[in-house]
Amino acid sequence: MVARGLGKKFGSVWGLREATFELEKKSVSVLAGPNGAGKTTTTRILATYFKPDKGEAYVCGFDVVREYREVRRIIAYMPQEYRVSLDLTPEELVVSSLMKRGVSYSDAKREARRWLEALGMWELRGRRLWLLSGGERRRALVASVLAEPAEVYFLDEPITGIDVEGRYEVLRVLREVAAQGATVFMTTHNLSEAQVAADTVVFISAGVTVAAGNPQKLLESFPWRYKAFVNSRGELPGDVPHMRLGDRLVVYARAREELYELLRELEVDVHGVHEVNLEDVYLQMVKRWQP
Amino acid sequence: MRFLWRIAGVAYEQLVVFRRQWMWIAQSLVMVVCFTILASAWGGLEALRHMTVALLLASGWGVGLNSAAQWIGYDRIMGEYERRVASPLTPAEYILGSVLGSFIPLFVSELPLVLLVAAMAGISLSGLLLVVLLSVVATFLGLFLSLSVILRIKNPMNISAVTNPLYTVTTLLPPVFYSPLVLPEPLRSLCAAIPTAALVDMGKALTGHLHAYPLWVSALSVAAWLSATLVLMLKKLEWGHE
Repeated sequence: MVARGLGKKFGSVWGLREATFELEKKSVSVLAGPNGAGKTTTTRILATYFKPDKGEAYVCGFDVVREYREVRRIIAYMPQEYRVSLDLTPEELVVSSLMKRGVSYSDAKREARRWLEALGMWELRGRRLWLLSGGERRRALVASVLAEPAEVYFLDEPITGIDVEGRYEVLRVLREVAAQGATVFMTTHNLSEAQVAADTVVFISAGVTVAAGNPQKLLESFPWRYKAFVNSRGELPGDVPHMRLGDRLVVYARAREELYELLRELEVDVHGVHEVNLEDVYLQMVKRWQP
Repeated sequence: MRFLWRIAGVAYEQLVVFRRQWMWIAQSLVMVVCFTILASAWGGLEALRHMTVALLLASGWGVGLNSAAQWIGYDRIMGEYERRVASPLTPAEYILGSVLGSFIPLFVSELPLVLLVAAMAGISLSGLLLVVLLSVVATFLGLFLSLSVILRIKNPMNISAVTNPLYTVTTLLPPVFYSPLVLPEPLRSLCAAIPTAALVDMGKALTGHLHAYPLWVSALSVAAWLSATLVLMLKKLEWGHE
């Protein structure tokens, strides 16, 4: 999947200004960024819902504008805040989704079982969606999309509103889908899960891609390795890399020993020491925040 | 075959929901019974004959204008429409499936009852068949008109707040359940330009009953409305960037 200088204008405002990335086939890719950064617009362009005003994009080698029919044949898409009638059951939802792609009723019933089992929803297959929790509904929706026979799956915030076990259940299935040869492209705000599940992470901010790459490589590009959560109302010396959250501070250092030494010097209450994660990289790159 | 399953898939989802919300179907059946009683009580068999034709066509019109159009409107709000654009489903298959999904529960379910009433009223089977076919035209015309309007609403929070009044205005106000012949000129002639009035008058002409306009005038009016609303709808029915 390739995007080069992708841009989309809404009236006189550029909602997406310059999205550029290349993603591998048979992988899980995550597009992350703050609200209004252009994640959904990028996804909509790749899913042939929007026509870009500049740039070009290819899905499995097909131009999303000129060859949109070919693209639509090989993709499945779950839009942001996607909902369905709550009078349906998870099984009916998956069956109707498959039939809408041209799968016969009997084949759809068989596939529905496979995907509902994969997402831990088989026991709830006959219960109407309005009787399920928000997370269970979301898993049923994800099952209905992943059940569709496609080469590329676009999922716009698929794990929003799902509990921790549910999120990991969805991520496990997404990894399996990629392992079986499909490509998964999802947007999320949840970077800890992106770090676990993604082969590639693309950061987008104010309509421009600011970084793209393997999560581990992105972490290595971050100048600090460790962080500590501390409590201090006083000001820290200017040369100490930190981020203030009220009376709580996040203090960064290159090495664990360096961090412990720094904390001893600062005489602050320490609430935990951790390795940095993708959220720290994200904050630096997307929010232009410099510790 | 795959395109047939795609159409069936769109219809299937609606059929399941209608089965669960069976009061809609019950309402359709009660309407037939009520109109039969009303017409017989006030005008005997002659009124029943007119009412049967009007009811069949108004039902078809309502299925398109109210039910199918509402379904498509809600699909747009809920993201289903967007999801289906990014799939092999074509707009024609989607619309056909949406119409079928409403037509089967709301029209076909009341058909046996209407046929019974029609037999009581002495309407010929061939005439009735023509009216049923005309009801399909009425369904599509209602759908095109409704979508021409609701697709232009910027923030459609409650689509039924638009389609329900539109249905009432197009079926109860013009000469649909009463004859245009009771209207003075030029109002009578002007009413031929109203799609529902033209459809019902056409239906009466096809079943050999008293009608107000020559068949070609009603047919021309219906054809003009079909073409105009189809163009207006297609201008706003964007299937992605197609």
